[in-house]
Amino acid sequence: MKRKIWIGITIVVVVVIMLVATALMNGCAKQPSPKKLDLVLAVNVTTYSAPVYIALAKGFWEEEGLKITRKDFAAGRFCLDAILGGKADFGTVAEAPMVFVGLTGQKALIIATMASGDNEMKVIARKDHGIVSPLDIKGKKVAALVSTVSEFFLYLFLNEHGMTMSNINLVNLKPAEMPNALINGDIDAFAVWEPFVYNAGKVLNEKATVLSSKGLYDIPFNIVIPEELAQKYPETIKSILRGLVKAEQFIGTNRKEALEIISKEVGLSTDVLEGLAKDIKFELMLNNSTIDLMEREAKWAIEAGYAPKDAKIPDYRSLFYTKALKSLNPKAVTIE
Amino acid sequence: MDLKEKYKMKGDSVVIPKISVRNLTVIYRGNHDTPAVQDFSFNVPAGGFTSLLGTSGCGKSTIINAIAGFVPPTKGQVLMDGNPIMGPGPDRVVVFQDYVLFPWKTVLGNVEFGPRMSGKSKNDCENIAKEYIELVGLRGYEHKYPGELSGGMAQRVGLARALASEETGVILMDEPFGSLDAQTRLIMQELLLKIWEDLHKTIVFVTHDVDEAILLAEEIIIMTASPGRVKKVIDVPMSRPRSYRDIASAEYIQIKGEVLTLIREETLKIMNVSSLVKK
Amino acid sequence: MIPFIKKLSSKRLAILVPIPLFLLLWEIVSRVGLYNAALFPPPSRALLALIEMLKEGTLLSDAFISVKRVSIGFCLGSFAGISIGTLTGRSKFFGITLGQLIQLFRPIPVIAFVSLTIIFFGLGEFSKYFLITWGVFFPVWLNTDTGISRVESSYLRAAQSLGANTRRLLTEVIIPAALPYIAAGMRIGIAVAYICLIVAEMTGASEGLGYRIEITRLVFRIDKMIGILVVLGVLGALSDGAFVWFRNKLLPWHKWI
Repeated sequence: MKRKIWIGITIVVVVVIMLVATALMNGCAKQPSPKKLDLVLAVNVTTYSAPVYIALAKGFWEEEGLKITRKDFAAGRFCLDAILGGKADFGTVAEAPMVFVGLTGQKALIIATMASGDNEMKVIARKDHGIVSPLDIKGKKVAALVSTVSEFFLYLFLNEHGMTMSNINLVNLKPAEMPNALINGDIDAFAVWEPFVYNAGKVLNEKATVLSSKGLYDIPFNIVIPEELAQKYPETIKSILRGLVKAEQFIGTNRKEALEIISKEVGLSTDVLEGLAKDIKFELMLNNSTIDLMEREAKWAIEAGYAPKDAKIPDYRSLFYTKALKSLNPKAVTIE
Repeated sequence: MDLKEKYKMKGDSVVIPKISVRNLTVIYRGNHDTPAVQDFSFNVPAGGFTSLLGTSGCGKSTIINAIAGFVPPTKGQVLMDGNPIMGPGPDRVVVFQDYVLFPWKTVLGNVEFGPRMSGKSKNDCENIAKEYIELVGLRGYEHKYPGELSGGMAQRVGLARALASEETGVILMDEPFGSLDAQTRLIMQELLLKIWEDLHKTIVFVTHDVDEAILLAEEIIIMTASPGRVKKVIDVPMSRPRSYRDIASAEYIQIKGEVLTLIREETLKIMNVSSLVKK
Repeated sequence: MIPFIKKLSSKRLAILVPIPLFLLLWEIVSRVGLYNAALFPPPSRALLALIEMLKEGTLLSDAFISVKRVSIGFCLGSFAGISIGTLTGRSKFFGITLGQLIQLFRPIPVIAFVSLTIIFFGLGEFSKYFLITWGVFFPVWLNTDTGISRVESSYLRAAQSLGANTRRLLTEVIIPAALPYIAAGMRIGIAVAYICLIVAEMTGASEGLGYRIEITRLVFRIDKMIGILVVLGVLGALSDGAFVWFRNKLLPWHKWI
């Protein structure tokens, strides 16, 4: 029996040694090469992803010598998982998920904000469930995707109308699941980005009301990369940005064709898109206001129990990689 | 011997045998060539004790199964009180070699199974069961499960269960003591003798043990090896009540000699040992 | 101290030593700093997170709603599995027709049914009950079917010769003889119920342990997540232990069949 105890102890020790060894091996650097050309892109469906769609459709990245493999995700939060997990080389992520990256001491870097605007997020609610004005949402089942701009917007929206998250019954859903849940009547309202609000509204028609809050939340939608890419392939990052610059110029100059490309991706008519796009600024930048926003969101996260009570708000500057954009357009960067 | 002659009693009334097996042939499905039992006939009078004795594999159990109604005759008839047997029923209860007690029921539950199936009141069932549990000497074990009993005890429960089914006139016993050790078997044989002598049940008893057959039965039917036929019917006219001491009697030794010779012939037939046959 | 250790049998030591040793090593490895402590928190942090969730009140309410869902789904699934298993195990016709149909669905993992369930039944409690019921049904059905169809024929013969009719044969012999199999199926069903619970709560829930795991994943609260996993493990072990206790109480003979 004594011997068996020792066998047990040995197994535990071996397991621990293996864990330590894998950690060390992860730390070991791989052979660097000047430029990485084969890239995996993680993208999620939103009108804010427009520059990415254009760059892909018009081959702007190919012109830069990049070969892109595209992977679609349900939200930027899941693009972030792919980036952190080494499954993607760059992807579309808003600032909110990045708040948690900072709070947990992980590393992923924002290389540019590619779209921003304060009229993308909306709450859509069922009128026939008794919601006609913001205050009616009290006690209702409201869907949002936790940890993303969807949830933070809902938080801001409730605060704006003198409520807190505890006044509603939060249902965690992926954006694509929200319209059906609202149409089926499983939820009374949801808060998320386009095209999901518009799509739900189109089906529900008179039964739904859109409670928009323009100006409440200016969302910076970003391109995020794993830290490794910044350390080893700074040139690749510049190529990614150059492709996006071309895409944004294209949106400005070839409005009609651009809208048609985006229309195919997000499934909204060009007319509807035109209406949405006028509130979106397609311009590469790295703005200090994003850091202020993220600090505010970090406080919210700690309050909500999403981060330990003793968590310190990190220096969010360290989650930005400014060099590449600075070299292309110094005026676009206000982060030191 | 003419059956009518044999069972004719005083006053010229013909007494119908309790069990009558007439020209029974059983062929199992998928085994067309060799019948398990062929052209087999015998009768058991009411209150009789008949042993079927034969080498293993001679179809003894098939005959029990046919009388029990588990196996339909391929040819011939099996009658009880003159009526053909259509299927299993509580008028013919079986005591199995491996007891087949219901492991999910206590001793009491097993023994009162028969009475319960006949629709007796709960109280009656329990009283009847307790009576027979006591008869087989298992008082105090009513609430044990079969899994907690030794082989000898389990078979006593099997016996009590069969007896408790009170409308049973016939008890069919298929090598009931075959799994028990020699000492226990002897006790069980004596118990069975006593019960039979007291309760006057009709018993058909299958065995391959010569001593057991002679000690218990009134009549031994010696069977041929596969396929099973009647080789010879031997009367055992020893006086009753019998006990294990009768093994030493001259009468017993004489019958045993005859039975052994007959059985030996059959055993050699299947074993095909020519060197022994020449002797 | 030493006499105390001597008092403990070596068997007890074998049980008692590995767990604290494992926790201690985990604590050390996590605190040394080779890994990101937020993603690989030491057990002490997971314990603190558990206490935090207890104080917030979410832990008890999540555990309560999850246990409720598991219980209802387990009961419904067991009931369906036992009834249909008895039917398919007893009747040749249903055994072939219905049995084949069930076999067709059996290998499909529950997670594949989540989306369909949501479309059919929405996001409400019914969907959760349905998924757990669905998952529990198969092992219970399979074991019941096996137990019922493989009842030793000697039991049937014994009962018939004692005068049991078809109905009594079923209630007095076939079902009791199959009970140990059914119990084994239900025991597997308990484990399956917890798997299905988590699957069901990951999408479109607003409370429950599975929901909380999903939330903690989204915000990288791994310490809370480990705390919930421990709670799930304890609940699972308790459910299994309770089931075994009841089985031994109700079927003291189960080991003899």
